[in-house]
Amino acid sequence: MYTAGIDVGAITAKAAILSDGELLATALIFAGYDRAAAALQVLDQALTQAGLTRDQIARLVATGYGRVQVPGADRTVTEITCHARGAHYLCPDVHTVIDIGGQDSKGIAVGPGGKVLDFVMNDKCAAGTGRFLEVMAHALEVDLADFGRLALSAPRRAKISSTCTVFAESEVITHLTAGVPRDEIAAGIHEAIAARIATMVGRIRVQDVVVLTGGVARNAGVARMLEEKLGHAILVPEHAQLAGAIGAALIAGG
Amino acid sequence: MQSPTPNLHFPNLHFPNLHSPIGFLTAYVPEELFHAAGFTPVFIFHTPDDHGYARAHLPGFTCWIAGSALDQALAGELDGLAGMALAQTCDTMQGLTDLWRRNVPHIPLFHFGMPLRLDGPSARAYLLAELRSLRERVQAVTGRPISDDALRESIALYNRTRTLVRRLYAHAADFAPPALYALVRAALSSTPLPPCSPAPLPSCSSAPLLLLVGSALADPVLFDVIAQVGARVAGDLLDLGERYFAVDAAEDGDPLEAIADRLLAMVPTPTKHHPQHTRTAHLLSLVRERNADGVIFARQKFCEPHGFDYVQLAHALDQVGVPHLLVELEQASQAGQLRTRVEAFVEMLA
Repeated sequence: MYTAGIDVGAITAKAAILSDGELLATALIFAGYDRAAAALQVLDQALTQAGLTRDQIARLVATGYGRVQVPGADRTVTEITCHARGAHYLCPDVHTVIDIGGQDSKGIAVGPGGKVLDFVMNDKCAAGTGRFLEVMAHALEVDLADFGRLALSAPRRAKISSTCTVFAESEVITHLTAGVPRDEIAAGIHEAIAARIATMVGRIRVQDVVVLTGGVARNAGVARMLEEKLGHAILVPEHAQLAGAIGAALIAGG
Repeated sequence: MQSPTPNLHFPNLHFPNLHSPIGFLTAYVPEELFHAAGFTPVFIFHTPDDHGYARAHLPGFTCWIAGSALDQALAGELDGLAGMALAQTCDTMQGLTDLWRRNVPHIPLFHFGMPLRLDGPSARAYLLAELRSLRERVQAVTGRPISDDALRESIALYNRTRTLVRRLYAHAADFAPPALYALVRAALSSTPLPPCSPAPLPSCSSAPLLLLVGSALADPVLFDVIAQVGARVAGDLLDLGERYFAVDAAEDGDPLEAIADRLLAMVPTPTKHHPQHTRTAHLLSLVRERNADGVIFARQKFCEPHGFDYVQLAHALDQVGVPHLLVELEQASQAGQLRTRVEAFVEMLA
């Protein structure tokens, strides 16, 4: 049986197709403003990759902020439930999931079978999200894809004390004006987001194995600094950004 | 996201239909006394609209329950009120009292000093003195005496309303949450029920049963979201929810003593204390009694008393393994974000 999951997030739309519960194909695109169109497009890409047609998909579950706009979804499930399930598929020993997306971040305590035991969420402040990194990378004129590596290469970390993304950007500009090297500022920025996330996640019980999911998981700088702040090793699975879509596809399978 | 039940907001337009409406904002306002004086007590619900007037007088970290009332008043939307009553509950309401007196002089404000400690003879004595003083002050403004007979009649009327609301809460889980709270709000607003009363939904054993805790009653978004994700409310510990209607006043004997005893007997709000009658014990017994699957703490942003209260209530629920969720309601709460949290919580309970 083929099942599919679509995760329509703030910045990207993701799709995953499973064959009898095993990952068969994935796709990822920018979501843009038309979430419904993005959902159809990303599913189409995943279907092409899997060599399947839409009518071969027995059940489709939609998740993410745009979940209610996904045409043809048999069910909608929150990304909290889906990320827990998806992370469990990717790392069966997971007990804590940290999901850092484009505009929100979550900490999820996971039980047997990938069931959600507790969760904590930040969806009101950009400072603990991918948006923070995007704004800062832009201010430093660094490619977002290189940002983490740059941060990890710095011998020192500049202090970013503002809790707000907007004020932190001003602080970055002040550092640049003072001649602080870009890599040190980048390191400070990564430390700031890691500290913010660690504080949030601290509100649920953090237990090994800790898994990082969401788009920001690709940033090695965040992952390593988060390990430092949490005092726990962090696993970043290969399909970290697809955890929500994978979870949705698993839930579609019942 | 628009509320599907637009009658949850009661704008100034309705005031002319009420005889001498007197607004109130907090629990512990002795409604019976004002009713006996010839006023019609009506709760001033906050709205998401911000005219910007209140911001000139209040710090940014003020709860919008207080802020909205002041804003509505300064915008002239409450000019239909014959008075405003506030009881001593929190620092914000104390501040609002003074702000109101200075900036809304055309709507006379009556302040009522509800004691902090609710146990012991001195609390009762203090409360009675406050009620007697309030009676004098109200009489001085209206120019009419408030007789004991009038007080007893008003007590009987409010007891009847409370009986009806208790009957409603006994079947709370059979109602869609927005409908349930539309009725509770109507009871607080002395507003007749809409012509077509909501029909109770058939009992649905698979819908998770939730209890709500907090100060928030005005924001329809929360009730809409709970309904959308297929959950029901089995009861609450909201300041102006179930606990507000739980205790009747004696219909014989001294009426002010009856009101005092009623106020002292209610489950305390977070800023009041009764060592033998705690919110923790009450919440735990409510969970057991209603077979609640989970509890949602709906805290108004910037409400510190409920913030402090949350810690020990959450801990007590953790001790007995009852899942709970904390959501923060804002001036204009975002339905999407609220829905994600409530829906994830309900998925967790399933």
